[in-house]
Amino acid sequence: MLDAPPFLPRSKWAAASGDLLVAAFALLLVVVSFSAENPQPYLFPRILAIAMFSLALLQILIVASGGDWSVQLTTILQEARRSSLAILAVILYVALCEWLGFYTAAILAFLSIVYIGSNNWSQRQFATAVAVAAATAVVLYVLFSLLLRVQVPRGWLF
Amino acid sequence: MEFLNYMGAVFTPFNFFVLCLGTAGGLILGALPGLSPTMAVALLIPFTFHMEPAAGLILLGAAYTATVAGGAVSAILLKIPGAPANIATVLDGHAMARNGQAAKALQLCFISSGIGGVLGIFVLIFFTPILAKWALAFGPSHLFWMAMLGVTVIASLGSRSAVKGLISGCIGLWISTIGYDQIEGVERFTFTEHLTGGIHTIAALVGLFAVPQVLQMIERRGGGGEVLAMEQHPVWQTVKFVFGRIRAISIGSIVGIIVGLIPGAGGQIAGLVSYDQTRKFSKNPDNFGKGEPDGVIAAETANNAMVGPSLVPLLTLSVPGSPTAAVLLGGLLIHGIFPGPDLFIDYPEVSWTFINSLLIGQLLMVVFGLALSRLAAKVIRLPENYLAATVMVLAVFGTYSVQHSYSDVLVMATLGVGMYLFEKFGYTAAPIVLGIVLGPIAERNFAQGRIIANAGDGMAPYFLSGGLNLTLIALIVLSITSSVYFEIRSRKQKEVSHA
Amino acid sequence: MKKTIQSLLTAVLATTVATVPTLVASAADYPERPVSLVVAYNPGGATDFQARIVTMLAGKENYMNMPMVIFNRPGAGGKVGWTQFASKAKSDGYELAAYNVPHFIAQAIVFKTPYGIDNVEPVANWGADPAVLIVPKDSPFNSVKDVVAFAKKNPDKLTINGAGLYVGHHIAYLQFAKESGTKLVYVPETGGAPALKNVISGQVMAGFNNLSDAFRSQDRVKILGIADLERHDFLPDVPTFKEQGVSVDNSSVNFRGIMAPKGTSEEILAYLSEKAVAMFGDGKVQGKMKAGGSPMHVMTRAEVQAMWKERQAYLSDLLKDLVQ
Repeated sequence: MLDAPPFLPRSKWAAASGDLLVAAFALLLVVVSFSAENPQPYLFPRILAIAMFSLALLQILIVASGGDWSVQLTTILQEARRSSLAILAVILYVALCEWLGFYTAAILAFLSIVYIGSNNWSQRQFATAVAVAAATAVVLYVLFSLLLRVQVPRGWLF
Repeated sequence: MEFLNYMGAVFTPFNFFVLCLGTAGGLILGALPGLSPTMAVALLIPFTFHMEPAAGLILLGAAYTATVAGGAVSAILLKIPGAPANIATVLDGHAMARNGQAAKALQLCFISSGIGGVLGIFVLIFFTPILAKWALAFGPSHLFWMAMLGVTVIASLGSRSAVKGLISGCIGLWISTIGYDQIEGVERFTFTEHLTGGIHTIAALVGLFAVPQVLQMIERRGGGGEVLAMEQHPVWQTVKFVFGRIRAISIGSIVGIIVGLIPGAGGQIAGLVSYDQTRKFSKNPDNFGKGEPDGVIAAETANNAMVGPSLVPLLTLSVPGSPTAAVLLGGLLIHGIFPGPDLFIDYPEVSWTFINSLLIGQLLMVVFGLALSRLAAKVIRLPENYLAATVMVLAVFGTYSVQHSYSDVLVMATLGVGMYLFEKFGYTAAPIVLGIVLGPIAERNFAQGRIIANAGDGMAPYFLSGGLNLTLIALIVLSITSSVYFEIRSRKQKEVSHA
Repeated sequence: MKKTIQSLLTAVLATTVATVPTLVASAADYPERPVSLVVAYNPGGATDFQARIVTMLAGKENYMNMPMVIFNRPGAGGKVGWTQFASKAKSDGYELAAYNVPHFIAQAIVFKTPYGIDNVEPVANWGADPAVLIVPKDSPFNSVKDVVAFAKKNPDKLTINGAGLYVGHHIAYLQFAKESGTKLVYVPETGGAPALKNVISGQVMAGFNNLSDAFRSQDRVKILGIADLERHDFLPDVPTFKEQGVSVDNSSVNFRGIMAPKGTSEEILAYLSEKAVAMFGDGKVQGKMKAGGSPMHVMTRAEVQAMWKERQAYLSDLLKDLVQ
C-alpha cells in the first residue's frame, strides 16, 4: 500500500478504467448537487455523491496497489465488439418502436436479434424465424392487448 | 381454529376454479419481466366487480401469492428477476442452473416458497391481534434505519468486491433521486423530459437485468457460453433436502415475517436481508453466489413468508403496508367490507374464506409451480438467439405496460445497455436495483423524521434513542463489521492460494 | 454516443409529430375503441379506487359502449401524471384523466406546471371528500379549540400531517393555521393511507385526512372537525371548523372528476359529460361507492367550470406568499 506509485502504470490505468469513469461521474454529481439553488432537496444527493466519489477513489487505490486486476480493458473491447450489432439493434428497436407501432417493431427487432445471434443463415432458417416472430407477435397481442388491456402505440401497419 | 370452519367455502366448485385460475395466471404473469404483483392485482380488480365478495378476494389473494413466487422462475433460468423481491434468488438460483441444477433450483424455490408462505399465513391467523400493535410502532426514524440496514446488505451482494458493491449501491440510490423530489416537489437531475417522471423501479429492474442478459446471449453466439441443461431430479429428494436445511428455512421465515409486518419497509428487501443473514450464519459462506442451495431457500422462504404478515396492518387497522396491500384494500372496500379490528367478527365468512384461500393458494402454488418447472425445461432448450429476441421484445412490452409510458421504455433500454458495459468492469446490477428500491424509503423517512424531530426534542433524541432505533442501529453495526471481516478473510485466503 | 442517441431520438420524435396528422374524430362514431383514464396516484389510493368504481359501467351499451381503462402515473402529489397528461395527451377524446381539485389548481399556482384550469377541459365531477382534522384515540385533544389552545402556547411544536404538498389536506392546514393565527408544523406524506397510519400510531400529533378514510377508522382516531360549510351525512356528530370558531370554508374539499385535454371538440366533451353524469348516477355505481364509504357529488361540465374558477381565485390569494 505504501509504495503505491504516484502515477499508475499503463496496464493499471486499464484495470482501473471503469473505476476512473465512476470517479469522474461522481465528481460531476458532486458539482451538480452543490451548485443547486435550493439546497434542501439536494441534501441526500450530496451525501450520495460524496460517498460515491470517495468509494471510487478507494477502489482506484485498491487497483493501484495491486489488489484487484480482474478487469482487462482489451477483453472488454473485444467482447463489446462482438455484441455491437446487437446493441445497435436494441437501440434502434427502442428508438423506433413508438413510431413503427409496437407490434411491427417487435417483429422486426425479433428477426434482427435472431439474425445477429445466429452463426449461419439459410433460407429455411429465415422462414422459421419469420414464422416464430409472427407467432410471438400474436402471443403478445393476446396477452397485452386482449387480456391485460394495455393500449400499446400502433403504427401505420397494425 | 375458527378458520377451519370456513374451509369448505374455498372448495365450492366456482371458488376453487377461481383459485386455480388466479394461481396459475399469477405464476405466469410473475415469471414475465415487468409484470409485478401490484400490477397483476390491480389489473384483476375490474374482474372482481361482478363476483361475490369471497370469490373476488380469492382471485386477488391467489394472484398476489403466485406472482411473488412466479418471479423466481425467470430469476433462476434467465438471471432476470420477475420482481424486485426475486433479486436474491438470482444470486444462487441462476448459479445453480449454470451448474446444471436448474430443476433442483426450481423445486427448491417452490417448496421453500410454500413452506415460508404457509408459516406466514399461520402467523396471520394466530397472532394478528398481538402483532397489529407492533406493526404500528414503526415511525419515520425506524423506517429510515430499516432502509439503512438494507443498504448494508448491498456490500455482500455477489459483487466480486465489497467496494464495487457499495459504489453500485450508491449509484442506485442516486438513480432513485432522479425526477420530482418527494417532499418539496422540485425536479432533480432531469436533463430530458423523459426523466421528469423519475425512474420506475420496474423499468430499472427489467433494464438492468434483462437487457444485459440479451446482449450476453448474443455476444457468446457460437459456443463458449454456458448451455443450461435441465437435469432429472426427483421432487421427493428435494423435499427431503429442504427439510434438512432447517437453519435457512428458519432464518428465511423469521426475516420474512418481521419485514412483512412493517408497513412501508418494502417487502422487496425481505429476500435480500434473509439471504445475507443466512450467509452470515452459514458454515461455508464462501459458497454463496456460486450456487449454494441455502441461498435459494433463504431468499424464497422469506419472499413468501412476507405475504401473510403484510396483510396484518391491512386487515386489522385498515392501513395497507405495501402497494399491493393497498390494491387489496380497494378490493375489500368495493364489496363494502371495511377492514378493522372487528373484521373477523363482522364478516367472518368473507374474511376467513379469504385467508383460507391464501393458505390453499400456497399449496396450489407449489403444485402448479413444480408443473411449471417441467415446462420451463423446454424454454431453456430454445436456441439462445431466439431466447434473446423473446426476452427483449417482452422487456419492451412489459415495461410499457407498467404505466403506459414510452419514456419508461427509453429509460429501461438506456439503463440496460449501460449496465451491459458496466458489468464488464466488475460491477453488478443487484445492488443498483436495491439502491433504487431503498432510496425513496430512506430519503422520505429521513426528511419526515427531521421535520418531526425539529418540532420536538431535536434530531439526536428522535433518531438515536428508543429501543427500536437502538436495535436497528446495532444490527447495522453488526452487519457492517461482519462484512468487513468476511472481506478481509477472503482476501487473505486469496493471498494464501496465490502464494 | 449518448449525444448521437439523443439527437437520433429527437429526430425520430420530431418526424413522428410532423407526419402523423391530428385525427379529428367525428362525434358520430365516437367512441370506437376503449378510452384511457390517467390516475395521477398510486393503485389502491382513494382516487384510484373511486375512479375504478365510477367507470366500471362505461362498457355498457346505454353509457359509453366502450370500457374505460385506468392506468396510474403516480408521483409528486399528482404532478408527474398531470404534467404528462397536459403536455402529451391527444385531444381526440380517447385520452382522459382524473382530476383532484384543489390539488392541481394549487400546484399550478405554486409551481410553473404545464397544467392549470386554462389548458384542460372538465368533463364531469363524481365525488367530494372533505378534509377532516384527526388525532390519535389517546390524544388529549377533544376539540378544535383544544388544538388551537395548545398551538398558541407551543408555537412550532404541533405536528400535523397530510397526504402531500399542495393537496387538499395541505390547503386545509394552511387555512387552519392562517385563520386560527397559530404556528404549526406540516409533515407531508406520500398518500392518505401512510398519513392515516402515522396519526393512528401517534408519530404525529394530528393530521388532516379524507373524510372517507377517517370515517372507516373511527375506532382508532378521534375526528375533531370537518373543513366544509356544513356537517356531513356520514358523520353527523362532527362539527365543522366554523362552528368551533375557526373560519375554514370548503376550499380544501377534494373534488374528484374526469377531465380531457384542451382542444377536445365541443361535441365530444358534451357527449362525454352527458354519459359520465348518467353513469355516475347509476344505482349500481352509487351502491358500490356507498359501500366503500366514498361520498359522491355529481356535477355537470358547466358546474365544474364554475367551481374551478372560484377555487382558482381563492387559492391564488391564499397561496400568493408561496409562489415559486
